[in-house]
Amino acid sequence: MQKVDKSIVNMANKVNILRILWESQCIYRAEIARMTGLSQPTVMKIVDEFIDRGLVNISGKGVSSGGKPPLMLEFKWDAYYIIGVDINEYRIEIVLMDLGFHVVDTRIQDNREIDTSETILKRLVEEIMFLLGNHPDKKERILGIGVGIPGIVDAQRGVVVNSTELNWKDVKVKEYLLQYFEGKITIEDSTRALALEEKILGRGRNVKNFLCLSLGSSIGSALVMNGELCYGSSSASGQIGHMAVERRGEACSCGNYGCLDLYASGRAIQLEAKKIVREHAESQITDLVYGDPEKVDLNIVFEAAMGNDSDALAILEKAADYLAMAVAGIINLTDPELIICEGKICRECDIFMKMFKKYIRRRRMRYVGREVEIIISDPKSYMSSFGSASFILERFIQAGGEVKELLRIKNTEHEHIIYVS
Amino acid sequence: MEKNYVMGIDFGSDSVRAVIVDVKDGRTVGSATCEYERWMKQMYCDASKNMFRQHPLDYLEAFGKCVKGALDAAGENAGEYVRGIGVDTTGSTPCPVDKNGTPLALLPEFSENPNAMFYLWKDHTAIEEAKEINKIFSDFNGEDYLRFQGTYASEWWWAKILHGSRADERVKEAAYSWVEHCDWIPALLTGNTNPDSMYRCSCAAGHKALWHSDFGGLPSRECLEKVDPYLAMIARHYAKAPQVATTKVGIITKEWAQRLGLNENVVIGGSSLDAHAGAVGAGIKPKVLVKVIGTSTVDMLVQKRENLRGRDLHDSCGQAEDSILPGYVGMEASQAAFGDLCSWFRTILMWPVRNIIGESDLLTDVQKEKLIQMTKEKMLDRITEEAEKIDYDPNLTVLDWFNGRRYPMINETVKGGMYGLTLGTNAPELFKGILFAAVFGSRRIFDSFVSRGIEIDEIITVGGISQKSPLIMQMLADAMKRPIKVSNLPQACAQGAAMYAAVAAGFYDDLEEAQAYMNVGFRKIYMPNESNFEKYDRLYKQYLRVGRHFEEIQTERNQERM
Repeated sequence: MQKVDKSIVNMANKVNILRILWESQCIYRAEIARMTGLSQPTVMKIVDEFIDRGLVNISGKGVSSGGKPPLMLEFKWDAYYIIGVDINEYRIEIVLMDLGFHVVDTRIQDNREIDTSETILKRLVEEIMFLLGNHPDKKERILGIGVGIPGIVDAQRGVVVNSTELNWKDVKVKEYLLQYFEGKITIEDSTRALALEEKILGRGRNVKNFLCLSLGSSIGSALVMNGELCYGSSSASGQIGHMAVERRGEACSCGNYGCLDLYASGRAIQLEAKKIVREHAESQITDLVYGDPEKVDLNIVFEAAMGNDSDALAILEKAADYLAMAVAGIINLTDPELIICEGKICRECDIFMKMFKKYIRRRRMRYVGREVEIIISDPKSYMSSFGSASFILERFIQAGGEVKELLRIKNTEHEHIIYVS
Repeated sequence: MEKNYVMGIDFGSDSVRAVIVDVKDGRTVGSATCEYERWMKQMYCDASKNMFRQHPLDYLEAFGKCVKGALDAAGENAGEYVRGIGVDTTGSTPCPVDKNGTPLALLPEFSENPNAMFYLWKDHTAIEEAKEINKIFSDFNGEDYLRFQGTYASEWWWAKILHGSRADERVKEAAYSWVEHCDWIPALLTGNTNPDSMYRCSCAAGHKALWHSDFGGLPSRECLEKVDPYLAMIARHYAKAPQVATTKVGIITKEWAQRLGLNENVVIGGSSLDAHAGAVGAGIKPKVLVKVIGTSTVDMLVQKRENLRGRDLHDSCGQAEDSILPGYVGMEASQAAFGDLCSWFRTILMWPVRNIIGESDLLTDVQKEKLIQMTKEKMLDRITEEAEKIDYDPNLTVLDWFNGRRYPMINETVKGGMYGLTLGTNAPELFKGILFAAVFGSRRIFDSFVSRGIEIDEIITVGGISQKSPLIMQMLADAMKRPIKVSNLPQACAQGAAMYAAVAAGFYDDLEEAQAYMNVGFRKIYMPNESNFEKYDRLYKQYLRVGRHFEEIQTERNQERM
């Protein structure tokens, strides 16, 4: 009994130290001991094990304040690699990165209008093969593939239960990938992936409670509460898009009616704008597409709003108000410090974000002193696939850096075919 | 101190220009221009069939003369100080070549055959072939090969090759491969014209031949085969991958060094399309729109590929990797008529001058000729003076689609038009209306970029109009609400080509650095005048509204015809 406890403690210490090493560029053992409250010999033993396993380097000597200068420790980022994948309605992004999320190579493929889940997954496999083929030296040291897809995702089984964004239902992504690869493969909702990425690397680093919103053609969300990602009992938490905001609203494909997605999503905005063009209404939206409703996309609405068109502004205003209605509810329910937004709407339409903030302020509960900060995630320093890759990294750290299996290509015949083309 | 020069060669439509600049500050030390002899005699062309071909000897002869002229102008022994040569040409301007990469027209049996020459960019003989290509490229086995360029134009590579091969069996048989004008010159100067391994320019490859890493190269063999097996054969004889304009292609051959009067260590850099080189010369970088304004416009931007993820731009521009600035995606939009609108207006007003004055017997022939010439020369300047004084709102809306609309949302069938004419509308007002049309056409292109999340902080303009018409430039600044810098360069394209050479020869690490040192600054900056914004916004709204109605009328007409 006692023995088991000891190994659990030992593992917890390992995880703890590995995380500290990962988070700091350069650190010495005494500092780790101080941070963890462990004895120097314990730290030394664990660190030596990491050095033996090639996870940590001794990078040189630090500055001494008298006496022997301490040895500086450094995480060896290139000990292993991760493949991060992010799929949205516009494109697939595949990134081969090292453990420090330094990009080795990327493949980005735009989706075609004619694509189905089958053709997208087929392209995904081809692109991963291509990437591996380009990096034969790293191919044998890949921890796994982390995939992010917007929608309701059963992470356990690796199934996309429903994605309105991609129009996928019950797509067995993990099973598909396992035909070609052996090893760790995680499938997660991309908003949840964003939340994990922000928690590890981004603005959520030292924030205990925050909310991530993705504002694209549908609306997604993910919560970090008390430093932990929320999954819920069937890993379907975060479906803010299917929160009802209209008592007698329209029926939604999810089974509910009056859902937020029907009023505030990119798709809803586009539909409203199309209606205007179809009715030949005198609006700049109609003019910008020269009267052709098929040409209406979100950007046309943004362009009209930029030109101060009252119809475009009204459509956006209404959507922002509905969104604020739902988000204000979440704020009251969970009391987050920070809201991190992501997605086409927040990135390409300042006007909408200003409206959204205005309505959030209007609906603010007066008993809470502090105002929630709303920011847009920084696309320049992080790629979306970092989020999906974080799940693979987390597992690695949780296992104390012990790697039982690496990614392998299953069918060499297949591998061959793709390399040649 | 030792002198270091680089040379930029700009092969234009009518002539070639060579500029020798000092590497350290981009100052011009010598330049020359030479026309293409055969071309100026309109040989190998038939305007009625939209056939425009150029003989390779035209390029070679003019090039030789021009380099010598520039060297003479650059002072004694200038040839000793030239360290590199960069090139830009028109495009797509392809030519059939044999197995050695020699243009067929340089072989005796093809020397007078226009089908064996360079098909100049504005050659429109391949309209039918372009239609075929569009049909197959837009949806082949789940791939849309037109995703990055939009509708495939009859002016481009595959269409011209297909046309050439169908129009002339002998050319088809003799051609082992085809090359772009901009591929051929660096290849020739370095002595490797072997089509399978020669230099191919990434700008032309991306924009014209549809090379893209997403496709793993050119459109797939199967797809090309479906159009015509000949195209697949040409694709097999295309170098492995295109290279960027700053590539060090090689060292000049002894023969060429001697022929041009240069030292034997000259580095031959890569090449690009003329507008792209112009953008580089003028100072393109992320968030800066470079607008080349001539008869039409070319509007160029660069962005990192990752910043373009998920942006739907196919209605707004063509995109190609490593185009314009290596390492970036080059984006190219255009307005089908700009300066042409003013020329049209002048031509209309010249009618009575030519026909009434020209036929009158009140003046002598010499006087008549002088009067007609003077009227033509002074008309636009004079009417601009009057147009400048108009500060009231004539409420006249003109559409700039005299030559169809290219971007955004291409529609070649729409036509120009006017709404709001009254019995009181006078010539200067009408002229100003036309200028508004040109300016608003530019704003629409600009807005469509900005609303799709492409940031633009400033605009640099290049070309004759930007230096000649302060009125138009101020109107552009007010319409787009951004400062407009007018490039100081008389020859932006050649300057850009010289910058390619400076990087290829190792003086600078990349183009950004070369630009920083070799940029010769701006002639003038037009600041947007805020007090005009409201009026311009209102007029722009009218422009869009009138445009929509005209387009609806055209759509109905198109349907009637079907």
